Amino acid sequence: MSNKEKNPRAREVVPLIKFCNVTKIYPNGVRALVDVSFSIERGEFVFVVGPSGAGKTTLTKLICREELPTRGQVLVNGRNVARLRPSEVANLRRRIGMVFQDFRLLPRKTVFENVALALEIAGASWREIRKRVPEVLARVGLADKARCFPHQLSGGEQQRVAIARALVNRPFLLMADEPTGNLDPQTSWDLLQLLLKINEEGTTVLMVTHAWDLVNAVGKRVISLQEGRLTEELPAWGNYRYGT
Amino acid sequence: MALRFFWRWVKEAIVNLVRNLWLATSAVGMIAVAVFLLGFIVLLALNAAHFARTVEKGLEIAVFLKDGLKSAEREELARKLAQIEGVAKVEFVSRQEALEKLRRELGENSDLLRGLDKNNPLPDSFRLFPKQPQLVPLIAKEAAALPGVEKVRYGEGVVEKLLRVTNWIRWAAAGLVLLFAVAAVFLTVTTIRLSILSRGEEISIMKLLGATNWFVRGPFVCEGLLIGFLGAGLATGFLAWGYWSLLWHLEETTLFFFRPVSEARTLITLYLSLLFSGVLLGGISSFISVRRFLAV
Ligand SMILES: Nc1ncnc2c1ncn2[C@@H]1O[C@H](COP(=O)(O)OP(=O)(O)OP(=O)(O)O)[C@@H](O)[C@H]1O
Ligand SMILES: [Mg+2]
Repeated sequence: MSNKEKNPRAREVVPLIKFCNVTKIYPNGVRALVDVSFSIERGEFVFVVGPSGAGKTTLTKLICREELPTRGQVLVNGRNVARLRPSEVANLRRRIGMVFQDFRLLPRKTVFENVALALEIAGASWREIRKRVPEVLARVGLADKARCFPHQLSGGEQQRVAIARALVNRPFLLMADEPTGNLDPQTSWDLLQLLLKINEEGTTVLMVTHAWDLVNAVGKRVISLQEGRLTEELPAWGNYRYGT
Repeated sequence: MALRFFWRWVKEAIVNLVRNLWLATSAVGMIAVAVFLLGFIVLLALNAAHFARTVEKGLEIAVFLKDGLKSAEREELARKLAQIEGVAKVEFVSRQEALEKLRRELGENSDLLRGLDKNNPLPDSFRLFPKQPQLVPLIAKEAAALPGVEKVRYGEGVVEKLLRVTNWIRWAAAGLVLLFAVAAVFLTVTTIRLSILSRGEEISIMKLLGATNWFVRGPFVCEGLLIGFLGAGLATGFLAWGYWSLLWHLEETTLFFFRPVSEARTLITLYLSLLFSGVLLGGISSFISVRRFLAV
């Protein structure tokens, strides 16, 4: 990111995310990703698909540096995330909106506080928090649940809180790990529309999903993983039907 | 900016305490018990040391003079005695004074001394007060060698034993204080560590949202300081109240030949140190306990 300030042209030249021959082997010996290379440009909308255990979540973890690659390099904004200093890592994470597969809401904080936390971490003022949190909660349809604690919500509602938290900072990259996993078809569809809209507003979106109907309906780029390998990668050229 | 972060820390700490009331209460209770026990032992140790000092202060050396010493010789001797290293004070006791004193001590039985006024068998003497109790035997030896000295008395054998006992009391008191201090530290660290353990998940989530270490740590440290303050405050309050009423009762019954430590400055210093240590310990324990969860 500081690259951007140093070199204004970097914005156009360097892809937002670039994986160079990335292999991830967990300490227990599981090979979650094997020699994966791809890049994502600014403003793209990308689906990541693949069977369970294919390494999709691992891929997102490498981007926000929750895990480090065993071999190869992960570049975000042209910078190797393994080389970032702690303060730069914090800075990177603040500007990535991440919807975790397991939500990762703070159980002892209300919905409002959970969403506000992301803003507080980014250093927003109290006034800003008071304005932005209700806005974003309304956007995911949870305006009336602000004072609830996570355990008082349904799975789908918790998922939408996680999405609100990822959106509230207006991130440059939104990564959503199966954000429709707990939602009914109508809500899933609404959510996809929301993500598309956010993408149109300029945010790069990376969405991990099993929902083929959604993938097929919108005709965006698809990255497919199979046992840790990148099996096919297709540009956004219209309706792509998985497996046909 | 910094101020806003600070307020967030305090606010978060208080909200956390209230939301985890049971956990917070038990942590405060544990720390209160630890600090109370430590304070109790320190008071005990202070009094033991005070007792030892009181006993040692009573030590003195009696130097009996040969009969028929001229007053010039006596003054010369007094000067020499005062020059012996470790002598704080030299006091002359004439044979008449010695008799008076004996009579007073015998009280009802002073009849025994009737008729001795004209034929007083007691010699003139000097009382020597040592600067340090340990020096008594040395001073006595030097004094005995001076001309005009008949003999020197200081409770030989008893003094050495007494000094051994008072020394032992001091060491035992210091050892006990150390032991309880270590126990109190462990108890506090463990208590706070346990209360943070259950929130390790929250900490790693905050780190994944891009929080800096201090953003996460601040509220926990504030919370630790607050728990330390409440626990140590409770303990110190009880201790001060308990000790004060003890002093009050002892004042009425002058049963003891020795008065317990009651100097306000000493006691207030002790109470404030206990409070301060509790607060500091709470904060440091939190700091240490959070650290292991920050590596995300
Ligand atoms: N922390 C970890 N330690 C060890 N192995 C792990 C760890 N996380 C994931 N794995 C393993 O790595 C492989 C890929 O996991 P990953 O979570 O990336 O799969 P996924 O594609 O997200 O699957 P799903 O669709 O079920 O969420 C799996 O075999 C998993 O068991
Ligand atoms: Mg997954």
